[in-house]
Amino acid sequence: MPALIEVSKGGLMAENTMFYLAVILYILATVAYLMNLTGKKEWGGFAAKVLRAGFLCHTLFVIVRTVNVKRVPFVGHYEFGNLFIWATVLVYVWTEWRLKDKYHAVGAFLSPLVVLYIGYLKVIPKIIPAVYIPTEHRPLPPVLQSNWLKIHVSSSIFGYAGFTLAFAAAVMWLIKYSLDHKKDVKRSPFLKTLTAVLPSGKILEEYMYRASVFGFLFQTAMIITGAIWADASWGRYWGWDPKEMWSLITWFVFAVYLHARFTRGWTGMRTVTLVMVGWASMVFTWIGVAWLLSGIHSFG
Amino acid sequence: MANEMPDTPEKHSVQESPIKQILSFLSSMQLGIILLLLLAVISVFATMRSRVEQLDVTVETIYTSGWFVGIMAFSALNLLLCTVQRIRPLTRQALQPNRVMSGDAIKNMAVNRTIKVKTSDSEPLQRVQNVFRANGLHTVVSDSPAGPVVFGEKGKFGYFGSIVTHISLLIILLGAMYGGLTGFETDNWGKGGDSFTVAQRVFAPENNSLKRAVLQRLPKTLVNFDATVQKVELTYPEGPKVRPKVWADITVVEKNGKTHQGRTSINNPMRFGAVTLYQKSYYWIPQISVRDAETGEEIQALAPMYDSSTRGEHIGMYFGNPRANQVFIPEKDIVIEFPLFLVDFTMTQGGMPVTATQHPSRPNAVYEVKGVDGKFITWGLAPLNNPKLIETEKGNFEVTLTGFENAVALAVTKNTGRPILFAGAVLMLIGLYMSFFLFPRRFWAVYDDKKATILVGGRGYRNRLGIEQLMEKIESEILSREGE
Repeated sequence: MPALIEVSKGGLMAENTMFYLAVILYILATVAYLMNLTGKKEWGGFAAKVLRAGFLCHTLFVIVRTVNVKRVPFVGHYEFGNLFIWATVLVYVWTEWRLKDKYHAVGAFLSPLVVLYIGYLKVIPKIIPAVYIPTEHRPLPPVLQSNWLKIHVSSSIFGYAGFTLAFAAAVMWLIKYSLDHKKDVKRSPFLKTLTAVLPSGKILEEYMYRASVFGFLFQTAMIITGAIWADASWGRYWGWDPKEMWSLITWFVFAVYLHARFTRGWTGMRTVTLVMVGWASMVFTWIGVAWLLSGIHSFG
Repeated sequence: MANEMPDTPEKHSVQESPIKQILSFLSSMQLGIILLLLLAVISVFATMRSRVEQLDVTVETIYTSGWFVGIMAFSALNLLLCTVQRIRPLTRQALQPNRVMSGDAIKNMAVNRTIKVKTSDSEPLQRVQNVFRANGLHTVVSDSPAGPVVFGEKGKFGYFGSIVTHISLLIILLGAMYGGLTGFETDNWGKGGDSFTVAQRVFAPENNSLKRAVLQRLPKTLVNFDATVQKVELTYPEGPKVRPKVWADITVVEKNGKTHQGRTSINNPMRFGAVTLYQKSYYWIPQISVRDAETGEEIQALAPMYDSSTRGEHIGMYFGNPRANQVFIPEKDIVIEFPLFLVDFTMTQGGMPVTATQHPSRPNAVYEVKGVDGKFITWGLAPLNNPKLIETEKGNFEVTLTGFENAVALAVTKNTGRPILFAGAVLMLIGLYMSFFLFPRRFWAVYDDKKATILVGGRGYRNRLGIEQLMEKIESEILSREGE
C-alpha cells in the first residue's frame, strides 16, 4: 500500500466539515425541490439557493482537499466521485441560471441523483464491505504524474455531468409521458399539480438533447485525451481495457441517440430509452468496471 | 422538427437500379445506427469475457479478429458513403438559403411571432433589420411580390460540423490502419550499459500477408537500430514510501549512423521519427555470490532479475531463463534458489517476508535450499554485504548479497499513423464544436401593412431551444425599439 500524506488536524477537520455541510445542503435542496414539485412554487427559488450554497461548500471541500493532498484531487474513486458530483451540480446550477430559473422542476430529479452518488461514495462501503472506497490522502503514483491527468479527468467529469443531467430530464419525460397518458390524473390533486409543474415533453427533450450534447463533447475529449496520454504512458493509444471500452460503449450509445434524433427524426420514448441506456453505460463505466472488471485503470 | 433538418439521402433515394439501391443501403444512417449498436453490444460482451479470460485473449479472439475488423471496415464504408452523399445537400443548404419567404410560410415555421406595431411606424422592417444585426445576424433585404423580406443568418459553418466529424472519424480509422500495417511493438529491457538491437523485418512471424505486402511496398519505413541503456536512476521525490520515479538515459544509433539520445521515465517516452521507447516498469538485479564454505571457492555468481512491486518475485521466466535464480550443486544433491529479492525487508504478521516499500533501505535476498529432487531443506535471508552461512547435512555454503542494480523494461513501438491519428482527433473536436456550438440560425421578417404586424420566423439546425431563446430576445428588442 502506498504511503499516506500527513494532514494537519485542522486541514482534516476543514475538509470533513465542508464535505458534510455540502451533503446536508444537497439533501435539503432535494427536499426543497421536491416540495416545489407539489406546486409550492416559492420552494423552487429557495431550493436553488440551498443547492448553490451546497455547491459553494463542495467547492471549498475540493479546494481544501487539494491543499491537503498537495496535488489535484483527481485520483481514485472518492476524489473522482466528488469531482464528478461537483461538476454535475455546477452544470445544473449554470443551466438553471441560463434558463432564468424557469425549470426548477429539473432540480427535483437532478438533486436526488447527486445524493444517490454521494450515498454510493459514503454509505455503500459501510453496508457492503467488499466495496472499499479509500478516502485517505495519498500521493500521486508516478504513472499519474502528468498534465494529461488534469485534462483527461476534467473532460471526464463534465462528460459524466452532462449525461447525468440528460438522464434526469429523461426520467422527467417518462413521468410526464405517463401522466399525460393516464386517464384519472385529474382525480388526484398531486398528480394534477405534478402535470402542471413538469415542463412540456418538447422542452424536456430539448433539455435532454442539450445535456447529452454537452456530455458527448466532453466524453469525446476524454477519450481523445486519454488516448494521447496512454500513448505517452503505456506505449499505445488504445489498449481495449474494460474502462476504455465502456467509455467507448457510452460514446456509441449517445452517438446513436444524436444521429437518430438528427437524421431519423427520432423523438419521444425511443430517444429517452437511448439516453437512459447511455447513462446506465456511464454509471457502469464508473462503478461497474471498478468492481466487476479488472484493468489498468485501477488507481484505488 | 422536420423543416430544421437537412435533406437526407434517404428522402432522395430513388430506387432505380440495384446498384443505386445497394449504395443507398450502404450509405443509410439506419445502417450506421445498427452498426454502432452492434459494435456497442459486441464490446459489452467482450468486456464481460475479460472477467474469465486474459485481456490478450479477448483482444486476439474478438477485437483483432477478422469478423470484428470486418464490422469496423463496414462501418467505415457506411460512414464514408454517408458523408459523401450528404456533402451536396448540406452545402446547398448552407450556402444557398432561401432568402425570400411569404408571410404564410413564416407563420408555418415552428418558431414564429406576430408583432403588432403602431400604424405611425414608418420603417418597421428597418427596425427589424437593426435588431437582427444587433444579435449578430448577417442581414439581407430582398424584394418579393408581397413586399420586402428581411433575412438574417448566422453560423452557417455549423452545417458542416457533421461532415467534419465524420471525416475526422475516417481519418482516425485510416491512421490506426496505417499505423497497424506499418508499425510494430516489441519489449526490451536493460540495465546500465546493456544494449539491444531492434530490426523491423518484412517477413516477421507476427506479420500477416496484408502487412507483409504493405511493408514490401514501403521498405523505407522499416526501422533498424541499436539502443544502449546508459544509466538507470531511481529518485524518490515523494519520499521513500512512495514508488520511485525511474529514469533511464538511452542512446540510439540507427543503421544509417544517425544518433539519438534521450531520457525516459514513465509518461516521458523517448521519440525519434515514428519510433518511441516507453518505460513500462523497472526491475531489481541483485548480485549474489554462492561459495563453498569449506574451500572458500566461489561456486557461482548470479544476477537474477526481480519485479519492482512489493512482492519482489523472480521474473526470469519472462526473459527465457526461469532458472536464473538457482544454483545447482549436483555433487552435493543441493539446489539453492533465490525466489525473492526484498529491497525493504520486513515480516508480515503471518511470518511472510515482504518488502515494506520500494526504497532499498533493507535489501535482502531470500534463499531456499532444496534437494535436487525438490525436497525442502531450509530457507533464510542474505542481507547486503553480510555473508550468510548455510549449514546442511550435505555441506556448508556461504551466500553473499554483494550489491544490486536496476534495469528498465522498455516497450519499443513504431507508429507511423500517429500524426494522422492526432490530426483526426483535433479535427473531431473541431467538428463537434461546429456541430453543436456554431448552430446555424436563420430568421425572416415581413411586414403586413394591412394588419400593422411584423411577422418574424426563425429556423435553426439542431438547436430548437436556442432559436426559441433568440426569438424571445428579438421580439422584446423589436418592441422596445418602437418609436426610435
